[in-house]
Amino acid sequence: MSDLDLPPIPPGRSIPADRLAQRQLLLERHIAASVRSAGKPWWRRRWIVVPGAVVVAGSLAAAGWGLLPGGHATDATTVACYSTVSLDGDVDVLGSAEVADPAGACHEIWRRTGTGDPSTIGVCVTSRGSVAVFPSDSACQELGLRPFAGVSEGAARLAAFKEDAVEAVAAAACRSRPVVVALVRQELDSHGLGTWRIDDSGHDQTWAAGRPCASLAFDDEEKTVIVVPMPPR
Amino acid sequence: MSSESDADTDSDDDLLARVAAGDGGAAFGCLFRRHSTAVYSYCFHRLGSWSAAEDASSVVFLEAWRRRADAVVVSGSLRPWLLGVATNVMRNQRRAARRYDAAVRRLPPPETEPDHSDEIAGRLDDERQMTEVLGGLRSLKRNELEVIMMVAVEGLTYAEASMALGVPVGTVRSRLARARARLAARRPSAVAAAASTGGPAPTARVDRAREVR
Repeated sequence: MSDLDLPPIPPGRSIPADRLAQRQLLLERHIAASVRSAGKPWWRRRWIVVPGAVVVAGSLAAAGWGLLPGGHATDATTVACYSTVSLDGDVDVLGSAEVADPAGACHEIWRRTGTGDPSTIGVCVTSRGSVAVFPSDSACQELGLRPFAGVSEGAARLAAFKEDAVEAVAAAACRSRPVVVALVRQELDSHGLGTWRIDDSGHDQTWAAGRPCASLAFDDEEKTVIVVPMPPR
Repeated sequence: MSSESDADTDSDDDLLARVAAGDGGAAFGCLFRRHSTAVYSYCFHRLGSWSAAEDASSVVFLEAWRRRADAVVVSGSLRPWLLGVATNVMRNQRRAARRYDAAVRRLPPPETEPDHSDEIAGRLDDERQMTEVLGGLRSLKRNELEVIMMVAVEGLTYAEASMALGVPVGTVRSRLARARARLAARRPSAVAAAASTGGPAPTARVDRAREVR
């Protein structure tokens, strides 16, 4: 086999030092925010463990006893297109806009990327409630997953809220703190999510004066929108 | 607890252990500093734009933090795994942008723009050159392009690329072989692309010897 010669490739470079420092600070702030929001008392953690055990038991039963009844996705933010009948295989993850037609969306992505053009497709709901598509109509049965029967009403609302809130904040990321909070509250209310909380504490990270910049993070379990201040200029 | 200067000399394994033990920000920040150039360069080679690569690099590390429980150190380095995360980010840029939103990725411009005109000119040249290269590789399927980039451009071994892409080593080999055949069939245009870009940049090359590295 002959060697492969490619045209000259520009060598790598480093991110300019000032921007590298800003990016690192931003990363560390997000980490700090996510670590704080993940700190839950033990009685809350147990709720996570118990349904997990139920799901595993359910999946094992399904593998042995056949196809599970259809299930509704409780996470409508992504569609995962797996290239093989395995949850460990190559995967393309698409956005919430594709949840309306997961099979069609994955067919299209597989065709475009040259992954293949399977004659049958299986659309399933994972143990975490998200939509997974496989190139076989027996995939759900083989993997012990529920066939996809649509999106739960709550999941659809939450996905729409996230899209709209991110869109609204990204349109002009640098606004005063009360304006950002009011914007998020308005989006929550208009999507029927009035019980959600907004955490704009910054988690010990100072807000820049004037027109600070911020981004959003979502803690679904705590039903909290975290407004993360960006590093000051 | 290690100090920041200790962290700079800690191995990737040690830093990951510190992340797992709850010392998230500082240890992960150190991993960011250590591997940002590799990730940034890989993103540039995939996207052909330094500014898009900078945004993408941020998303890669945010995504890496989210998936830290799956992190794998190969031969003492987290780099192959990070390039795998970067590959997924490239595949799903729209989704990644949604997850972390545009505000996270786009930093406010620096207050004073230093005048490094040579640096700027060099980066513009890079972008022109990389656009040509990517144009020449357009005949490849995406998974073939990913393997070419990992092995021929970024210099990963077959085993590292296999781990990064989540496919068997045999699949890496077969994708490379297919890419090689496809590029050989288009050799005149590839040569033309190389000739039109010129310059002293290194010629990327992959050969069978890499299999045993």
